[in-house]
Amino acid sequence: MDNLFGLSMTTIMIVLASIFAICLASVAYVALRNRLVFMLGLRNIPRRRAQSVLIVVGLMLASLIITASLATGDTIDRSITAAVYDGLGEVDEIVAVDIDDEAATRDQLYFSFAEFEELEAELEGNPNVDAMTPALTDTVNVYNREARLSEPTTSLAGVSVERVGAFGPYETVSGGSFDFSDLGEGQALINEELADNVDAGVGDTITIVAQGVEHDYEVGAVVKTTILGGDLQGGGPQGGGVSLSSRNGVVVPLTGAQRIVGRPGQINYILISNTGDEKSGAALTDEVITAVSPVFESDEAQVTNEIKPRISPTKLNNLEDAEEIGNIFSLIFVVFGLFSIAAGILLIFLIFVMLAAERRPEMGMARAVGMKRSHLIQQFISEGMAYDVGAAFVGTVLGVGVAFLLVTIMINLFEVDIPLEYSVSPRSLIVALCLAMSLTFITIFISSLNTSRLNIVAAIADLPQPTTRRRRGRGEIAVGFVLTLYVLGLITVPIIALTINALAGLALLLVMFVGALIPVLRRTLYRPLGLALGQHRGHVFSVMALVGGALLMLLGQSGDVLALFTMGFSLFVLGVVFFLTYLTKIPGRVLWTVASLVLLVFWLLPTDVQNTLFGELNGDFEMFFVSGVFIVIASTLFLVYNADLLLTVLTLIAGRFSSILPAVRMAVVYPLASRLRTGLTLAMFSLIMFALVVMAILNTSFLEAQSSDEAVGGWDVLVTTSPNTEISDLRGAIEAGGGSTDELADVGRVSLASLFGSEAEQVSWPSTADAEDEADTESGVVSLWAGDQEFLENNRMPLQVIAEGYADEAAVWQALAEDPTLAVVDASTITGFTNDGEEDVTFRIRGVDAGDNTMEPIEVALRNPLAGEETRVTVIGVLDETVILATGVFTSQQAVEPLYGDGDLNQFFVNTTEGADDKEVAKGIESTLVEQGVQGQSLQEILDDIQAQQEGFLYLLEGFMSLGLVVGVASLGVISLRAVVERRQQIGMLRAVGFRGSLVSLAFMLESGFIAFVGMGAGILAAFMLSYNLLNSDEISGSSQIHYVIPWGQIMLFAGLAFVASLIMTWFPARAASRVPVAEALRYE
Amino acid sequence: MAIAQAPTKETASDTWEARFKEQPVVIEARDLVKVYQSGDGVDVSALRGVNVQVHKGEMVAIMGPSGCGKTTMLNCLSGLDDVTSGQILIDGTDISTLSDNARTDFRARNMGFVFQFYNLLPVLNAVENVELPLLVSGVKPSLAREKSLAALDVVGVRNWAGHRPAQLSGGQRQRVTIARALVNEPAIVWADEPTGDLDSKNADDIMSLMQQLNREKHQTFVIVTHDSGVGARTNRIIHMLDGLIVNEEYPDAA
Repeated sequence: MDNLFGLSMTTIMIVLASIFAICLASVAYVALRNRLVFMLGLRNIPRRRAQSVLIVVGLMLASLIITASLATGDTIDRSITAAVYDGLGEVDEIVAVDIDDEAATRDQLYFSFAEFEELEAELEGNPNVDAMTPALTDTVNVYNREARLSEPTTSLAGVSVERVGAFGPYETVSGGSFDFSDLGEGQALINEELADNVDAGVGDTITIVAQGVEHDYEVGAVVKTTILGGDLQGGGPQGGGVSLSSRNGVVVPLTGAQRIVGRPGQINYILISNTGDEKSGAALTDEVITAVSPVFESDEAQVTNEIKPRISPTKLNNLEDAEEIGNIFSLIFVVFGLFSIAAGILLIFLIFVMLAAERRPEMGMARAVGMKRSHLIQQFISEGMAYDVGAAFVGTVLGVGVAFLLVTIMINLFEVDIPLEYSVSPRSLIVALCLAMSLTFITIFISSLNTSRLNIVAAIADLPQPTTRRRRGRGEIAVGFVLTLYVLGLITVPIIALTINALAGLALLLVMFVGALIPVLRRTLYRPLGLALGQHRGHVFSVMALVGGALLMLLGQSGDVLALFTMGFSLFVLGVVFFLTYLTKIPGRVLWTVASLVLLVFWLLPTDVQNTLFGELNGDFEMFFVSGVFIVIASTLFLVYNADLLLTVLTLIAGRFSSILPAVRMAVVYPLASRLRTGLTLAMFSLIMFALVVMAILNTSFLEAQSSDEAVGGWDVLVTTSPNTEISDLRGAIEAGGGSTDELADVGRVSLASLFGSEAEQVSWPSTADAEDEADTESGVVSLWAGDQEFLENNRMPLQVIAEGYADEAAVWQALAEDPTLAVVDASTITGFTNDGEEDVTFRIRGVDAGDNTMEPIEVALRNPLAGEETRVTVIGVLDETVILATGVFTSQQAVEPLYGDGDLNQFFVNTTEGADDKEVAKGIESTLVEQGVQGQSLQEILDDIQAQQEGFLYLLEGFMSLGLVVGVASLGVISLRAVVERRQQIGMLRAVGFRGSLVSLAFMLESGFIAFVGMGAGILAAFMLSYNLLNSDEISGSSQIHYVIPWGQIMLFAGLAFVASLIMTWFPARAASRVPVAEALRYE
Repeated sequence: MAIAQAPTKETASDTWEARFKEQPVVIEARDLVKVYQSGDGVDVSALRGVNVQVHKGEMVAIMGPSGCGKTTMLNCLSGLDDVTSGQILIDGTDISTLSDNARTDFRARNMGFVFQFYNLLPVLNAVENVELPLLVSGVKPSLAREKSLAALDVVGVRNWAGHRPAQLSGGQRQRVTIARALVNEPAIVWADEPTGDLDSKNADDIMSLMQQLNREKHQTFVIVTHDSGVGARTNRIIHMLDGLIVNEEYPDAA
């Protein structure tokens, strides 16, 4: 993959490698200048092996997630690239008429064989071209009479027998090769896709149906699915590139194909192979295009219908697409992995806070005998770097494994026929390693700043750090604050890079890094500048937050970036609280409770209220992460400052079970006593559960709406006919074929006016439209569908916008049935659906927004570009976006007929009679009409298939995100292990006063359970609220069909697994605690 | 196995005889041996065959130089530690044969503990610390709270009930510890250097308090101490050396 967040991967690699080099250099400096301190750090590693293993596991998650995301992109890129090479073979460029350019009709796509001959003559002797062939392709119906199986949309390709050999022999599915010139009279090649679908092999007879005429061919060979093997329509400019889903293909000599489709002397493609093999040839694309283009640009070019074919760099385009798809997947996984990475950062911080707590006496002793605070920091970063490097390498290896697993599952899930080529580029590995190691290192550094600040006497005696009333709790707040700023910076960088400017993002990253280094550079920077921060550190943080917050808000408003504005506001609120903490004597509990509530209200405000208050700003999927982080920060602050209320409630409940009451009390008071570590762990669980639950709710709500009976308009069976078979009366055709129509209640016909799209243009604007809308309006391509009376009268497809004057959906459909000049459009025409964002050629309606419920009727002109005729219809509704089976403009047959006649393709929507089995009915129709290339499918089955695919991918994403739960579980393990050591003497006392071993163990288990439960509970609750807001906001969906659905099963599964894993993780330390010898524990110091 | 030696025994004073001779024996150790295994596998005999009896209502001090086995004896007698061999009878029950759970329950019902460093739970306030043994014994929370406040009242720190240990002075903490030791009205109170971490004024106050409780509630006190002043305020001092009782003293006689 080449870029991430809009930044070149090479640039990212250089920046991250530089940052990591600085990290390494700082440790190297310690190793060289303070060898003793360095060794002290390293020798801590083997002291507690189990703990060291846990630390490495915790630390490796960042590298695992980053590597997995990048390697997923690389593998997808590489696999699709391989598919491009396999699919296109030697073909590098294709000459064809571009339908996007001219809204061409079918006739305009063909040109004379003489055009090819002219080009061939022109390129003769050109050293950059080693092969070319003319080709003719069309969609035909192919069936196997014996097996009674048909494929109505098979791509027929005719290629030049004399010339195609220069592209190399065909590869057969059995692994051999086949020379096209060996094809006998009456023989055809079929590709493996078609062979499978119509169950045909070498020697079998297949029937090609085109223009209503049947042509029998014997299968000469079954070849791999390539562009020359029939997959031509997917490869040229008329298609989107090599199709990822395999296509049925049949290949015959060019003259045969011309006869079948009735176009003697015509072709619609010229395939060109550049000199070199299938990979190296693409390098000559520019030269070949330069040589070919003038041939068709000259006025003398003999082209049909005056539309000139042009050459396209097909292979290069496809290779770029492959890379783009890889980039998109990497981005998706990186963004969804951000939650886990953030949780990982908290875990790293927690681990080092705990390590420091464990070593306080020895750190105090070290300080007593002359070590400076900076030495302690150096000791920590030396030790940290060792863990960091080890963990990053382990994480990277595992990350590659996870990526390969993800891609394998995805490819199987989507049934994509591409060769799976596992790949990870060295650049991705370097980026993942450097990013993970730098993040970890900086986190360790921040935590060591906190932990190295100790009172020597108290540390030696392992007594609590003495605090004055004024300073109490502020140390923790300051650390939490720095951590928040740090996480905030990490979020802001990619957002700024994506929304404002890539270089600005990079600049911020560097500023952040230098900012983190400031304490190190204290001597060289602070003192010369006279910045004796000392006790005014708090004020500096406050001012930083206030100014930073205000700047981000301004940046958000001016740049129209919601994420920056909302983060700025939150930072500003935190800054105010921090300022008040230092300036006033208002209790921290009051300040932080108020601040957390303000933030919670702010982030959970319904979108329309937010828009009213702060103006409408642009937010994209990054808001998912940003809102998650801040909602979790706010809810965690609220919880840790008010958890004593929870204790009261729990004590009251547990009071009913007196045997466990002491354990419950212990389980709750300990977490409450250490806010920082409890807060960090709560935040980890909250963050991950929040993300998982929001995703699960949104997905389930969307999927349920899409798979509902309403989404298919109440129809049961979809019958698709072949473009080559004209069936306008389904009932009649079935009866003529000897089938039964007893189980067909209603049969609605919908005809697609033209396979190549129609032209539409908005000609009236609602009063809500502004001048800009009118100015932007231009004609665009759209699928134009004509419904017959039976379809319009029985259709119940839901509408998300209904024109004024119509009571409901039924009224709209009824009006369409009665008035042929009315129409409805699908939701993509109003929701900013664009074509690659480059050249928007699709039809758009302006002045109606996705969030609208009503609209003023809008007049639209429909045109047949070939005939030049026009008709006008009035749009009175917009289909709900959950209707995924229908796109375009839907109107009456009467409106379309003058432009297109009967249309190119008929589809029938069937309502079956009560009690009929939809699948059987569909199968029966298909079987009866197999020779006409008719396919029947139960609509529920189609929806189920789509849903299964979408669900599968979303589950995969959720699974990937749930890696973050490992972080939470690991953190509980770390806390519990540490707690057993830390509380050894207290355990002894509890045992002395009558706690049985099992009760001590229960207390530990309940404590972990309490943290996991509260953390997950807070995350789940916040997710419920946010997703409710999202589903009710017009930003995410204007659909009236999407209802708030809580997937309890999924949530219980996530929460249950995480909870059980937490308990298992705690069980070992808890058991150890229960077995602590009492007398020994009491002596323990 | 260590060889048991007969201790040299001072004659009991008349006062002691009069007060305790007829009282039932509540603590009895027979041939108590405790051997620890050091990290490098060497056996270290902490108790080498101790025999001792303590009568109901007695206040006994165990004294001796560091490492003589005082705390080990207290831990073994109270069931906090296992013995290598020998018998320990508390009110007739041989606790050395009890399972860990049974011994824990026995401790919760019959014993209270006071430690040198208080061993209060820092995360609980004074009254919550005191009510812990009651809650463990299954007493209803409301009753436990009532009894705990009363116990704090007895030791004079009721006003500090809502304070956490870190907010209390050393003397106050030790009073809370004593309240915790007494709250379930145990027959025996074990105290390991109860004044070891206190200044002389607080140490004196704590000893006076323990003496008063001992007299008023007729509870048996076994106190491990280095402080001869503490010993002097008990009914009997057991002197130990190298894991053996070497002498007994009756301060009342002095």
